[in-house]
Amino acid sequence: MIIKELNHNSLLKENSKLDLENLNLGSFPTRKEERWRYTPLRALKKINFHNQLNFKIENLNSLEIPKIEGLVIVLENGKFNSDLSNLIDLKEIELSFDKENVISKSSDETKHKDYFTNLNFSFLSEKVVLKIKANFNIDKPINFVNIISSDKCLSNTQFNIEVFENSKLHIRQYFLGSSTSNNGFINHRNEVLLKSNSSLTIDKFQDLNNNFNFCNEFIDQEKESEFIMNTFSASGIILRNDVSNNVHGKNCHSELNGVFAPIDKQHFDNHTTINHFVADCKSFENYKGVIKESGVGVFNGKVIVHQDAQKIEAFQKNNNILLDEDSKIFSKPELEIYADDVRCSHGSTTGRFDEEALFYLRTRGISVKKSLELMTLGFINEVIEKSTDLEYKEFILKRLLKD
Amino acid sequence: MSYTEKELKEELDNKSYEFGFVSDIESEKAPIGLNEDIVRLISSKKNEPQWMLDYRLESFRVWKEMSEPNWAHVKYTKPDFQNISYYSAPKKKKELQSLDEVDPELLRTMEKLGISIEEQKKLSGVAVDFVMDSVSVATSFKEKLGELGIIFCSFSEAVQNHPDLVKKYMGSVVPHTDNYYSALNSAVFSDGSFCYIPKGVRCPMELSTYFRINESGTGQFERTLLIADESSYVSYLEGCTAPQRDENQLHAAVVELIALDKAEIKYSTVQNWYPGDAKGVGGVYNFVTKRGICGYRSKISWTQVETGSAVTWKYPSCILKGDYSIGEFYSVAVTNNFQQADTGTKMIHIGKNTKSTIISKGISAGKSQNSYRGLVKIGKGAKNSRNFSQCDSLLMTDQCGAHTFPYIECENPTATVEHEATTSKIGEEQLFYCMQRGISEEKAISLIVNGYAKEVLNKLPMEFAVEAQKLLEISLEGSVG
Repeated sequence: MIIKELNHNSLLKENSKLDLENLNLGSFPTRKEERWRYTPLRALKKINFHNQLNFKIENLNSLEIPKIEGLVIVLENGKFNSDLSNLIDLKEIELSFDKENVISKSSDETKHKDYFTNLNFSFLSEKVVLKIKANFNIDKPINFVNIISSDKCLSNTQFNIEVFENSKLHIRQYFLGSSTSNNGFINHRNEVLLKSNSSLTIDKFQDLNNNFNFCNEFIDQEKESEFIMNTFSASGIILRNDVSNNVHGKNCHSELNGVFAPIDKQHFDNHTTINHFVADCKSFENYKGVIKESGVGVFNGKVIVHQDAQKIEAFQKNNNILLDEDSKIFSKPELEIYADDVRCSHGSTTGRFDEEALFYLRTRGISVKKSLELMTLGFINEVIEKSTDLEYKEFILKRLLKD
Repeated sequence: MSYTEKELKEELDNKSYEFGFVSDIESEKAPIGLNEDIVRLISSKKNEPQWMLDYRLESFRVWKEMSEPNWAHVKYTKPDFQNISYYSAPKKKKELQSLDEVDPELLRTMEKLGISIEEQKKLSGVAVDFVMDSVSVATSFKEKLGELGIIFCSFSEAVQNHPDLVKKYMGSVVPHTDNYYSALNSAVFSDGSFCYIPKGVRCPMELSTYFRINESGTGQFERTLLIADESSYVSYLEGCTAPQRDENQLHAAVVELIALDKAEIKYSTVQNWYPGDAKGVGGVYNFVTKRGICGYRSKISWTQVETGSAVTWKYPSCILKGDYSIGEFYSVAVTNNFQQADTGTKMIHIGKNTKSTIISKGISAGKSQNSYRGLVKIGKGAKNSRNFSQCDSLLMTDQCGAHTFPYIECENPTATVEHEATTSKIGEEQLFYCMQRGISEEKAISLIVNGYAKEVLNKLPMEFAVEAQKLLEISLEGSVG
């Protein structure tokens, strides 16, 4: 298999200088490729990365995140950090760091097409495999923290989740960049396999400060399973989320939500693909962009309904607010439909806040800043309220609104 | 005797392209293939001035260095550009003075198409510039238009008689470097229409050109240039039918519209090129570049009904350069059997307070693929601009596809951009309701489809609306899923 070939040791050696363009991993993406049309990678290309992985953070409390309880898995600069982690023994869960473990079935074909996937497999430094046995409902969220704390550090990590029959799980993923590190890069890959009648919710929070984060995600769903992913992108030089949700079984529910709030030349890119291979499924997408001060937002959603996948209900929504003169948004909601008995629709809007609503708030003595904040809150609340945890919700809001 | 479903099916299977006939007119053809000599030959045949030849040669040079685009959501065998004759003109011995001198065969063809020039002249008030195999043979109502100062003639005449206008505007909206097919067109275009509406003139009639591919194996490279000077108005109709052929014919036209300050152009198209037979053999490749540019407070409105062509690849666009300008795009695209369409529009907002509306209705039947691909770009300076897009797709069978690829690029916070799209099939309840009242399934579907497309059909001028409605019916026959 190609993965093993790519995994040879010479590449895995610690390198002090990694020039992304000359790694022999296929051609480096350019804007001529449709998938990278709106995301220039100049900023990433000019950095000389290293993969000398060491720890710097002594205590999770030094990071700006709410107190994390329960099972915590922490990767720092691409390596498992046992001091920061808290591996409480849960009998329902099997946890391993086995790099040879492969769970995903459909992702094999997509694996070697993409530059950053190749990069991930060739320089893979840590792979976390989490398996939930059948018939368990785990109430407390499991926390997965992926930190970059060293300058120009390239971290390639993977997280595989397999949820067996009738089980239910909630995962919180934190992608964090310490405020003192610059130009670090987390190139992460999530693989999820949901067995029949299982359910998984992932809350993904990205707060990278002055670092990069790309996430490639592959989700395979078997019959009657439920998958919900909420992506909150708060900061980072370039953030890119590439979600492929493949629905292989009937009566599945898939939901992808997100809020992205780039500010000050940050570039946040959300790509999603939902593949409906079989009939009788539902999928929903709802992405909100709040773009400030020369920030750039990209949304590219795609729903593919394959032939014979009848009775599909798919809804795709992308709303964007541009707050400043230099902010930009590129939205591309796509539908590819090969079956006739479907109900698919999408909507995309871009605009600014209603002047009259703003005026109303101002007449009540609320400052411009506060009014805008309130209106932003109202705008993104539809997605934020998906989370029921009050503390987490408040934290997310605070970071997204950047006050 | 009742009419059974089986009979209906048989009838539909045997029903073929209504306008599929070939008129037998002697025509003059250029040798097959494309090289610099052919470009020179075309130019010299048309007795063109040096600057025109230079333009063609430059375009040809650019074209040679380009490669065929393949990003569209269509699959087809690429045409062999060296296997096409690039020039064909009905033989004519002298300048024609009146209709009597026109080849009677040609007149009969026109009658079959339902556009007998005499009829048109007397009854409908439409001036027809009839283009048959690339060269205009008959132009009517010229004098009447001439009184108003309107110039409406074939492109080659315009090159001879109005070189200043052609020189100034040709290539100003669609430059020869724009894309592969526009470069090809600029190099080898055979003829087309030219129209100029002077300042403040409201064109009293709908200008119309019928295009028609006639000679087998001839690529048709039309070029249309329409200039509406300040505060003028014109409504232009373009319609096409093509005879039945087995080999693929290439059609790569370029249409340029220029609406100067406060002018308004309404451009309507009914496109019915031969779509290939039920097995997907033959049919026309339609790769067209259509674009208009708007000045201050001007308006360009594209309306199109697309029912034909094996492969369509067409994006009528508006560049909203002037402040307060308006761009509109109304489209019905029908695909049946093995047809493929990748069509849509581009609205490029540059000026302040510009407005655009996109209404696109796609109908796919048989095993066809129908895509909407549209760009809405709000430039940095396009303050307070507004766009509304609606793209609906209707699926008739479980083997066809309907796709939507909207591109929304917004760089100004004061702009409002809305896009919505839906994909569904004909409501079973609607169908049931009609059939319950004794309307046959076929009729019921055409009724529902007509209602679905009404929003766009209503935008067509009267003469076209009827024809378009008929075309919709013909195109969808046999598609009951």
